[in-house]
Amino acid sequence: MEQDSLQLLWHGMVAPQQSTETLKNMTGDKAHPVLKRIRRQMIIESIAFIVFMVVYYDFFDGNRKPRIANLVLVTGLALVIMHNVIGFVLAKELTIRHSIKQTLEAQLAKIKSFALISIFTRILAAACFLYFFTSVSDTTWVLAAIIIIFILQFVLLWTIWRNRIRQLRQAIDSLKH
Amino acid sequence: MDQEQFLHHISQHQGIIHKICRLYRHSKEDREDLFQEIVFQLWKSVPGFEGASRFSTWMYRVALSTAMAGFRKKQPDIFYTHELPHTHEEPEPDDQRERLFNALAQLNDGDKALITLYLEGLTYREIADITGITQMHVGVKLNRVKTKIQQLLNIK
Repeated sequence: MEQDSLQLLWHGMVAPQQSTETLKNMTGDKAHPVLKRIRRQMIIESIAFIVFMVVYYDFFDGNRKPRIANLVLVTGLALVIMHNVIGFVLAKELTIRHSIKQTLEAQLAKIKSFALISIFTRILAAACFLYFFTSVSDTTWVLAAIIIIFILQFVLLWTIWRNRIRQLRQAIDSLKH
Repeated sequence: MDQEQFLHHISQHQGIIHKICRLYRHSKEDREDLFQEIVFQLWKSVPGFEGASRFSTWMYRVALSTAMAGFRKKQPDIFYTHELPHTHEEPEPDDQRERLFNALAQLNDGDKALITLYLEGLTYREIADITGITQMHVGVKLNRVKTKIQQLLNIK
């Protein structure tokens, strides 16, 4: 196989053809595979938090806790939901720059900022939860559960973001070297 | 550009999107996801297409950026040999294509982008413009990549 024949082989490859209708469907948000997954996760988490907000007043004695503790808890939940929304928007937007290298560098900067926001909002949410449950201190097991859940979440988030950032860095480096 | 014109262009050039998906993703499902993602990003990026370059040139930039920026799940470790299995019989064109794609799949993301653009017949200047590296660097890297592919395909 000579070098030019590589180009011949490349051009000779028969690719499956999508109909115009199928292509049209792909231009909408609803068909986007990543957005679909994030949207589903966002809806599940949001429903879970709303259910929690409805029942916490009775289950965790919200009525016996100071008003500020209730407010802080709701703020914590809102932060988690807001974080999901930001993630959804970020996944949707890939700002195309003049070159692939510039696009990847801009995306890396954006991912780094969001990673910080993501971890910061989770820590803040954890702090809000802790504040609520320590405002009347008779629920040690709940406290322990919250701490464990948030540590696990933090480790998971850290790992996900570290891998994403590493993957983008490697892609940029592969163009440079 | 309205949606009808856009879809007409995409329909004409969808072969290149399929090739990019095949190079950058391993499973059928991931390739289908990437294909949708590229079409979605292209449509979202249409306002940024000023018509200063050819549609295909702009499309390479968006499609390759989307493929390289997308998050991929870690693949199981694959150990490649230095050469692809050599057969004494003259391979059929489909086998040769398969061998070529297997060889290209072993390259890193950046090299895949460069060789794709080269195989599509773009000049070094166009490749430099799309990728954002210098023409000289494109030349050096492409020589390295071509040698590697020659070795993998047993080309003397």
